[in-house]
Amino acid sequence: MASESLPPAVAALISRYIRSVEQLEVLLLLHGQPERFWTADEVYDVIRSSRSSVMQRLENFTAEEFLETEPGPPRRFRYAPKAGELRSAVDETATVYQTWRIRVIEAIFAPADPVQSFADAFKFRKT
Amino acid sequence: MAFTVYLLCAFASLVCAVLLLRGYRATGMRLLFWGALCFSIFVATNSLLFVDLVVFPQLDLAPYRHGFTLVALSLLLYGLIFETQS
Amino acid sequence: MLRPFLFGAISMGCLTIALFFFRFWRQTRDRFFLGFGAAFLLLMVERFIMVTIDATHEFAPFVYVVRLLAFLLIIAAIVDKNRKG
Repeated sequence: MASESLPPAVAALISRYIRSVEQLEVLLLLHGQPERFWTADEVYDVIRSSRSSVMQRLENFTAEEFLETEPGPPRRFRYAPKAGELRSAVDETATVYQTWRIRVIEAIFAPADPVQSFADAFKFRKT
Repeated sequence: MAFTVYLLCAFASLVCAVLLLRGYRATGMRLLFWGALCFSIFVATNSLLFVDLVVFPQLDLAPYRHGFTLVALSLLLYGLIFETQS
Repeated sequence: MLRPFLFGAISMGCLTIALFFFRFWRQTRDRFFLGFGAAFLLLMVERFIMVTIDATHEFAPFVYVVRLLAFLLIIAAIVDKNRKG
């Protein structure tokens, strides 16, 4: 299975938060320039998917505490995870994505394994 | 002593059932649903032991307990066979 | 009449479930499945003991000690799962 060879933190991050390559690209774009505030249009200019979905991704990542936001208008977003674990998982994902691009993309689309879900269900706290 | 043991078993089964149900809601994996069902019945059979001996000592609920245990195992087996494809 | 049938079926059920968990352990290398597999193996042993000592109910010491061990294994597997993370 593709995700087997990815580091556990990367596999966990993908399975929990990432459902599409667009999401991953948005997250890594903001991660690449952590001091910069981005508007949705500026992100769209790089990602080129669709304006409304880019906005949706940015808002979701803010809700999941990867980003912080300035109300604007226009609203601006900056990469700023509060949790150290989240931060290091994204760092690792960015590194892995440069060399193992296909594996990362496969992991995004790989159906979850019921057997592993069975064991993971017994974790009190979700990773 | 026996009571404590079966109470502990009932409690452990309850924890398993709750965790599996929570996992099922989070992932939608039906294997977890069958597991949750199995452990829920284990809660019942282990608690029934207590009812059997303390509440109604004159009644013998053993056939029901064993019957329910078999049903529980069959449900988990169904999940293991039909809901894991690797 | 019904009892031997139920016990035989329960034993086989436990054994089969244990083997599934052992296969999952081999597949995922997650120790968690080892605990669950061993627990269901013990539940099979419990039924075997009940039949051989002809226990009329589950309050014979041999029987509940084995079930206790089985559920302690389940608890240990869950605790272990939460420590690693």
